[in-house]
Amino acid sequence: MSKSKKVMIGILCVVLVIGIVASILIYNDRKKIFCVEEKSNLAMGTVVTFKIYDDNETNLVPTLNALIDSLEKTISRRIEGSPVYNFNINSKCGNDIVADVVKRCQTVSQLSAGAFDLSIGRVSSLWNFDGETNEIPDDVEIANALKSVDYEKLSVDGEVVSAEKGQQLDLGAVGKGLACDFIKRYLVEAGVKGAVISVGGSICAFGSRNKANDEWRIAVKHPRESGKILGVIKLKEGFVSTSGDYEKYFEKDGKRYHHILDARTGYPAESAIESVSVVCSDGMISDALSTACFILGVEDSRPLLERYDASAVFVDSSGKISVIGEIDFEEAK
Amino acid sequence: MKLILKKQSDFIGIKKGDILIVAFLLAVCTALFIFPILKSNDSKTAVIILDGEVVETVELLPQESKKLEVGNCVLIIENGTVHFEEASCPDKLCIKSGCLSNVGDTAACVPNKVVVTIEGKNKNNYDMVAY
Repeated sequence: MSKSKKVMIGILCVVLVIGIVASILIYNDRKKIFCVEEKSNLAMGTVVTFKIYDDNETNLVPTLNALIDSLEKTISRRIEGSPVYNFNINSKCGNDIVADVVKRCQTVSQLSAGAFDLSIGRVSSLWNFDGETNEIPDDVEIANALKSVDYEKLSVDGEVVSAEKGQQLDLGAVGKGLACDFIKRYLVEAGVKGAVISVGGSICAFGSRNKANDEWRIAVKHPRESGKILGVIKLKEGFVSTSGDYEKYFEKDGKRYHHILDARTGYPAESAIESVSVVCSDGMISDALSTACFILGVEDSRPLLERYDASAVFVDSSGKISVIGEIDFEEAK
Repeated sequence: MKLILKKQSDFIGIKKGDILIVAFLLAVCTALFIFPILKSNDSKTAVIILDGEVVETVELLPQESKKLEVGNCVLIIENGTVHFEEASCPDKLCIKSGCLSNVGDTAACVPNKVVVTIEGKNKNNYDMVAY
């Protein structure tokens, strides 16, 4: 073998090894997780978990908690003096956030034929799922309260929301998703690399945890088997909202009374759905859609999801999983 | 065998020293790849928060068994899991949350301001749980 050939082979070997080492270093660098600010705490009457990723350490959680508190003081119907609290007394309030939510939710109400309706406040108060009683309200009382439920009678004029006397708002179905919207807006402005946030199980995800721009993996809780997951939704960016009959409920005479009320009947929805997770590009809408889809069931939800370019994973009472729309869902083994 | 190797080596012009260098570099490559994996540890810790303050951190070991009274709640740590056993809240959502065992799992008793979360290296195939 000639000397030049030997040198060539030698150089090739060195180049090859350098190539391999460089590829591994680049791979490790791209997969290296950014600095993460990770915290769970209580806010808005629920558990909020933050995972915020950036090149350097951040300290944004206190500000975000304050943001959530301020939002709660606007949309809670239980906090004295909040715009929604005042609305439920005076049938009128002036607040840009409430006005925006009511206006956008009216469209969801319309598209769900009234199954989802923010003016369900009086019926929600009767069921009082947050309270101690766990009693089924009286039929007559429900029928009376139901008379006040009508999204068409809510009117929005600029920042002013008004209603017929006796109508009451309950923004509970969309509050967590709305908080996700606020958090995302703040974090995008702050310029962080990425974040995945859970406000009581409603998820907001954007950016990435590493330079490889790996997608987020959002697990969906199993509606019946505690501690287990149903599967994983993969997404680059978006919001995931879940409505299920397994969180807030009580049982009476062998029947489960869960907290998702059908605004057309005033009773817990009977669509034979145990859980539905909606993926959408807007947090508040994602929350509204998951409630509406839970009440409507798989087939009646299709047009609604299409209208918002959203997708969903349903689980019915037989355990059957239905995936609607373009969603990367992998069932757990 | 030696003879064959010698013959083959001669054929492509590689000497024993060359093979050693390549083997060494390959070992370095493997080490670079494996190091980040070895660096991670498997320990999981239950972090218990009362009214915004961390009041207890307990490593979740398979043999660890403990009963903790936090505020108006009772927590049980056993078999590498943690769960709410008793709570004075009306809805008992915390008890319904069941046993937590994976990193990132969180349960809370909102009325009693108690939060339990499992911290550690995320070995799950997910970043967050939707519910």
